[in-house]
Amino acid sequence: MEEIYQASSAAEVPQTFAFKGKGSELFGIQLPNWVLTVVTLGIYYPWAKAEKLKYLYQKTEFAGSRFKFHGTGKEMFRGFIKAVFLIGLIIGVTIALFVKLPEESKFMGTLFLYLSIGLVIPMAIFGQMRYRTSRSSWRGIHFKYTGDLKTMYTIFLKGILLTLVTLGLYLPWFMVDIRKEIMGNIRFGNIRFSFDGEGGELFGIHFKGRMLTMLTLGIYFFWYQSELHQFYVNNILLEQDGKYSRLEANVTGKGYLKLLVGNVLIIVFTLGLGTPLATIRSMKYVINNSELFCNLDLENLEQAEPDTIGAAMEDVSDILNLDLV
Amino acid sequence: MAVFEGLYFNGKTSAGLPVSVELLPTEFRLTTRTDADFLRIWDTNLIGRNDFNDAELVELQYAASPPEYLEVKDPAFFGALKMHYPKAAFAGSRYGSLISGNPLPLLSVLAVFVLLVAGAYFWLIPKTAEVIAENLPVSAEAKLGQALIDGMLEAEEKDSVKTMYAQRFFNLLHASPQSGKVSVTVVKHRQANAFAVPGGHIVVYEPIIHLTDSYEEFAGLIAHENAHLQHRHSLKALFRNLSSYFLVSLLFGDLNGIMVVVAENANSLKSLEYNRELEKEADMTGLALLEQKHIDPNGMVGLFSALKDEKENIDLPEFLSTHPVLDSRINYLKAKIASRKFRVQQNDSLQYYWQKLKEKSIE
Repeated sequence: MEEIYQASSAAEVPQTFAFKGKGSELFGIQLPNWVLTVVTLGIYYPWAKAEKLKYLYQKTEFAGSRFKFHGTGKEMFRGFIKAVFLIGLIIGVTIALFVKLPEESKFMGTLFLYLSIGLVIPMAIFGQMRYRTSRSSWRGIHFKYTGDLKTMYTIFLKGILLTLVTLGLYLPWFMVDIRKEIMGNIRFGNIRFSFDGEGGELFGIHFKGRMLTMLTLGIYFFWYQSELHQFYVNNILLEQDGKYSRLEANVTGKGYLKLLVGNVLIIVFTLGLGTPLATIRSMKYVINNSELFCNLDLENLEQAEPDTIGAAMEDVSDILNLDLV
Repeated sequence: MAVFEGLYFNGKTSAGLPVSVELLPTEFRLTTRTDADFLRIWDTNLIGRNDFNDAELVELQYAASPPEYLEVKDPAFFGALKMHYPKAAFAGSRYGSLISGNPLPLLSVLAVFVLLVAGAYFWLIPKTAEVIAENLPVSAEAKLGQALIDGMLEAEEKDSVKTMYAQRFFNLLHASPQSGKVSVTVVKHRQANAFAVPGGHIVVYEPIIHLTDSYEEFAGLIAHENAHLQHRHSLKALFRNLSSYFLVSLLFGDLNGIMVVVAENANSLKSLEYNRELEKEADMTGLALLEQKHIDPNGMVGLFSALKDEKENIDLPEFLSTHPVLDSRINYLKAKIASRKFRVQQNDSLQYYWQKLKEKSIE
């Protein structure tokens, strides 16, 4: 997707990202939030999460300005309650089915569990994307998610069926379809995002990665992870008025090795208390190694009309551990 | 008052307008050189809270419609805000003392946190689990127990003749009308083991019967397991495992493992290690039952001695054979027996059923 027109205002310049957070600061912020979470038996969790996100966004700089997270604990608390209720209901019904049903139809319980999780995941992704984008801004301009739930369900239905039929071989194409749907619906002012990766390429990365990881007794794992990272980031394109810009991640296997081994050591030797430090290390590594080959007019982004979107599915995605944004 | 240079964003476009920011007691005055008509007055009460600004860049949000923003990169601005508006939420940070670099406040919060987690783990969770276990309706316990025992015995081979004798042994030992129905099952197995399952089930792995040298020892075993049931110990331990996991996952933000633990617990019930208090409680209640039925209480001591001595010859689950407290259990049982007068009476029926249980199985 090389640029063919001459840009009117700016030539293609790499705009770098920078992460300015410090481990000691995040630790100081998360610690009292942990205390409150424990004291309130977990109820405070959404507020704690909002504070962490606010910090991480505020310390992420692009083209000299910081990102901002506008979500609040109160909003996320509503979502949290729904999430806990929904997941609780699913677990409750599953257990009830296992207890009530006679031996020969116990598989109904398993079936119910998989079906309901399958129904919840697209909703969780959709809800989280809508919420997170609407609450993220840069220079006062908010992001926006324009996708709809029906398309997400269609992608999941097709993806799950084909993955089952092909005994898992279709999974990379399924993942790319989800990514294309998510990225293709992110708007930032008049900037449109898209994802240009292909399932075949992802399949190749997974195939090579798993083979070599086995052959090298795990050492290749870090190079495998960095290739995955590059696949997911370098295929993101930004389009504004017909002009395209491209994200680029400069991560390496060696860098991933240092990052992940360091993080595991930090977390293990501090009994988990050093998690904020590991978070900062990851953010620094990922953000500082990202560049945008930029053809964008960053001065004239226009705000879309504000909308009111609840945090309904934010925490469902959290409980199901769908790390998307 | 002080004047700083910054960029103003109107919330409609991303174009930053270079402005001079004049800090007045109750307002910010924003003006620009390029447009003499431009003037924005920011009421300091409507400026949003400081979301982790630093000296390198201060970004403020103003509650207009749409919200407006101000970016100031002058390193002195951060300090100036604190100086001029010491009480304002946009100047200070609620985490100020924790991120200032002074370790003392941080360490005290850390100490509070560690204490809280330890308190929750060692006191609150066991206590809560106990309360839940004690108040769970009998019908719910019975259903849960039935599901657990069905799952457990599915893969096991039941010895139906010995199950019958063991059930009769139990009924004679524990013929009290108010206690709920308890089912005893003898299972053919490699290991020597016995355990209580919620809802009134005792499972005996056959080899443990051969470890007993008298009906009194077997009575001790059954009385002990029955006491676990009476006190709902396995239910308590189950809830405790679950809630400990819940706490850990809450702290590390990983809630999706709960289901795994539910599944694991169903199967690990047979090797569940109750804590010392619960074991002691079961021993004492069991001993009281032996006393009530005039059975020689030394049977229980004999059982533990046999468990201790036999670990080389027989396959015992690890928690039984390496139980570090077997010695102390033998000691407190001996002390208890010495402290009381037990009236012992030979019980021929129990003797008969125990002999039947010891016989080689008829396949």
